[in-house]
Amino acid sequence: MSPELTAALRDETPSAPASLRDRVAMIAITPPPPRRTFTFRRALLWTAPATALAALAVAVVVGVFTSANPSAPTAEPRSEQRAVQNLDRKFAAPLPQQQSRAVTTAGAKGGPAPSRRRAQQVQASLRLLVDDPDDLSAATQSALRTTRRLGGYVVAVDYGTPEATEGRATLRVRVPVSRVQAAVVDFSNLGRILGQQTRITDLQQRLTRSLASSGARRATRREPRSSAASASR
Amino acid sequence: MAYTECVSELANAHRSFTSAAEDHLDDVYRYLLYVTANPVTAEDLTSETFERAFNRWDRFDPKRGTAQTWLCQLARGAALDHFRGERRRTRREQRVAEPDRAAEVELPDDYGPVLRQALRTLTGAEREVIALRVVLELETKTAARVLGISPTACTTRLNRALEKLEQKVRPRLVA
Repeated sequence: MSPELTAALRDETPSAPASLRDRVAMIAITPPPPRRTFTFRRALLWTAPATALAALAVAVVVGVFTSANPSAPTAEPRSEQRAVQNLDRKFAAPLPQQQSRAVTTAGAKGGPAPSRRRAQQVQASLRLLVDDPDDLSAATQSALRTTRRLGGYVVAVDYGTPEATEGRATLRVRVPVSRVQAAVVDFSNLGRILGQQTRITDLQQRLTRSLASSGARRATRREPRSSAASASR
Repeated sequence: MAYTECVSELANAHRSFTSAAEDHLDDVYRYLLYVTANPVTAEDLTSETFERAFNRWDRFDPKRGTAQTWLCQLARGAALDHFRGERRRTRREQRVAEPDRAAEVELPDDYGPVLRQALRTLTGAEREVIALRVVLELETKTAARVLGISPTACTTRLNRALEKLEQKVRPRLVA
């Protein structure tokens, strides 16, 4: 290293201008910001600002799964099958719960599988946490896309970010019973799972009773016509 | 802690920050001038460095290093943040416009024309090591700590930078 070059570098490098000195002096005058302490609550509100409690309530209605093998004979009458298939297609509103068993499986993926042979109502709810409001928006949109992709529809969406660093989205969606597990797995990938609940209600007995009574009513209506026909003969 | 003790501690902290700012303002500015090669950016980043230092003054531990080293580390962090932001902005703007190359290196007129021209040929990392080792006269170990590299790597970088600089400066000085 030549001394001339070193001297030139030191001498020719300018000092801070007076305007900068004033700016720095102003910094020292301003009061310091309040000291922040680390708490779990703060971590939730700031480090993970979007307290995206996305309650993804996957409410599904009735599905009919007579048999995995279509060639196998079924015990249920054809009219009953058709009625249940129609219900599945329409995603009818949930019926009152009977003989339900609730299973809480926090952190588990998919939850208990619905039966493929009986008519069931499956309700699954997830509570998720995402890192920030941008992620919250992306997660909400992704959940809506997933719902549509799985052949379901959105019942209600409540999305809000009251503060820049905090937000919440609540979604109620319905998907076919055969896609519930896929939906739960897809939704649980959108954030950190805080809680998960799956509830399966068996509706087969109720459905069989209802179909039997409607069949009996149809038979009663047919009866006077046939007795009138025999009387006229 | 009693209220008076708390107030006195705050007053001491304030005094020590003010004296550190007075002592090392030139060092930080000169360092940032070499890193950014732009006096306006260097001024802004110096101001930001002292703002960060003021907010984090309670974290400064004199046992771990001098205030000068700590301030240089903060200045480096501020400069890196600035460059990252600039890179993002440039990438965004390049989609619609040609990059403004003239604005990249704008060393002030305080430098002689020969040295200024020579410094323009160095990379940011080379100018940075010259600033720390030659202009601020930091020891190799301290400069390496600021740069986040080993002392050997710091020496190698400095030698290469000076060699490059001398190659550019010597013929002109001789002429």
